[in-house]
Amino acid sequence: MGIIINLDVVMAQRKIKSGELAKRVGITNANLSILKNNKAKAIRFSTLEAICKELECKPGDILEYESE
Amino acid sequence: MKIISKRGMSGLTELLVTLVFIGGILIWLSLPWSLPIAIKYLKTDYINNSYFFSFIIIFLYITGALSLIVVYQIRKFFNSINNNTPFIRQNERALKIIGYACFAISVCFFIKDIFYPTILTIIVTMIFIIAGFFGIVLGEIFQQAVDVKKENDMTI
Repeated sequence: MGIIINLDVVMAQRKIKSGELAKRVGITNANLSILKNNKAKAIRFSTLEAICKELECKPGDILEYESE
Repeated sequence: MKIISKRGMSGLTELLVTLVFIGGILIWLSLPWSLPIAIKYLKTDYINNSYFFSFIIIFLYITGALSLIVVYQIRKFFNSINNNTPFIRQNERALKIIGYACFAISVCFFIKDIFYPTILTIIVTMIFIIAGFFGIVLGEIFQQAVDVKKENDMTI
């Protein structure tokens, strides 16, 4: 699957709900769930930056590479 | 005046196209009655030709139907622009239908030009050939735009 998004793991650790994170990051709930479900084709640096800022983590905590 | 808005230029265009569509249907349906009246005011030598009336009425029924298809598709196209969703597959199809319909109209006009040539219809033939190419090329461009838009929508 290549790049895997571990956003829900980090969110569970930080005990933050989807709606709350979406509001703080400034994206819609629908877009956040697209991201969480690995359906997104790309992520903007600005979005990644905002998520990392809110969750106080590094991009590597959210994104993971897995060889086929 | 705003260009892309329901109350702006594109909204006005949609209204005009709707009026043209309704008027076009009325004229198309009333051809057997309206054509003799129109021909009375035509200053052309072809009136003396006995096949002229039957040829022209069949010609106008075919090209009229095709033109109504074109106008209907343009209306749909502008409707989607006014709803702020112009980059959809439906518009790509609409533009290609417009293109092929324009080609069909130009073929009809070409046949008319063979039997009853006038300068005006030769010009119309050329315009519809260009409009046909334009519609098909624009449809292809729209296909690319739809793909880019989809890619952009999936970028979070």
